Amino acid sequence: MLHVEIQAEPLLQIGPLTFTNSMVGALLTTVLLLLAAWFFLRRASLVPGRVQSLVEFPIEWTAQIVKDNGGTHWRSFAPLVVTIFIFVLLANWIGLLPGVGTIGYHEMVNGEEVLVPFVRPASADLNFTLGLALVSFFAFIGLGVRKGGVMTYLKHTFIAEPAYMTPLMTPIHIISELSRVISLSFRLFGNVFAGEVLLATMLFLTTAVVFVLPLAFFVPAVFLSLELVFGFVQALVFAFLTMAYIVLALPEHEEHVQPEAEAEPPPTHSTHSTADPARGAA
Amino acid sequence: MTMTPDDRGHGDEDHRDTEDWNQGNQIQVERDDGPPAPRRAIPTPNWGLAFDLGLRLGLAIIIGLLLGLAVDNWLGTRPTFTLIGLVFGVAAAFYTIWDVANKSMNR
Repeated sequence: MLHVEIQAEPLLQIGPLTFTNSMVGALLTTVLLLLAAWFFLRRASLVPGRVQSLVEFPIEWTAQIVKDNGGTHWRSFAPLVVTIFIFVLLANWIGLLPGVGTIGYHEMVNGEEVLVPFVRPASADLNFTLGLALVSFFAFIGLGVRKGGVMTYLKHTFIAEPAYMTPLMTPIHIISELSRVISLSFRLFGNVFAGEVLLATMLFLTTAVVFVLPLAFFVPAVFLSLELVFGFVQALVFAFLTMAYIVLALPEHEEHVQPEAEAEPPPTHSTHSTADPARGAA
Repeated sequence: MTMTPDDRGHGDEDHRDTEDWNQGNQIQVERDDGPPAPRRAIPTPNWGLAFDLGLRLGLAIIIGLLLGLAVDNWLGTRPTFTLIGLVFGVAAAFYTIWDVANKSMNR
């Protein structure tokens, strides 16, 4: 029986804390990242080997994009953006491992026997994505406050430009800010959860016909590779939207201009200009 | 424009032809119409912001509506605050577009 629960299923109850299968997925992701960090920091060399290059590539690639787009303060938020990218990427891809979502115990729900998996990808739980979106939200508020000051931030957020517009503009501003958190969290959750449902459906359909059409066995592989791409894109979108919010929240006058542009020599007088129609016609 | 000795002394059409040729071959053309604009960094990934704006438009309306409904249920004044919330939600949706566009253009 095909069954994908929209909310994470509880596995254990420890006092007031309910331990769900998506928490197992989040812990697994964290442990994998910590182990990889420990292993590669211990064996890191200045001239990277093949495996080290493979691990360093996504980090360097993301950091380079943050550097190119992040303005003058890119160093202050690059670790956060890169961490979010790697963490969400791994949390999404955990769901594609064999056994995740398919190994569990059976229980009766409304008279039907359903499988409760031991591990569920963390991003397929709204609590996880909402938590991550709140981290991103408070990070951009925090950086905005740090660069501009608390009073400037509060004034900008709660007091409109002509002061008499404040009762009208403040609720609008608050709704707009709330939509930012909800959009970040729902997008990631929706995409990953939809992927889980799609994979479960494909597996269910192909298992039903695999004895008649043996090639159907390969159909889920197509969707697995699609989920690889979707997981990557969603991690990228989450991380770079966090960056975009932070960049837009920082004071505008300190924005980034390439250093080489400042070092350019003053323009020399040229012999011809197409921008001046009078000269062109002369 | 940097001119070669061969270019000098020809008519305006020749100048334009030469310039087109130079631009086609990616030879740097100097202009005397003010200092060159400083080369800015690659802008923030706008595709991501555009992707986000589409979702935030709808969400702002839904949030306004739900907040209005919650206030109405609390005070028992339905549908007054539901309608006010809806109006604020729609306004917030447009404000979101303006805010993102304004900040992006100021960068």
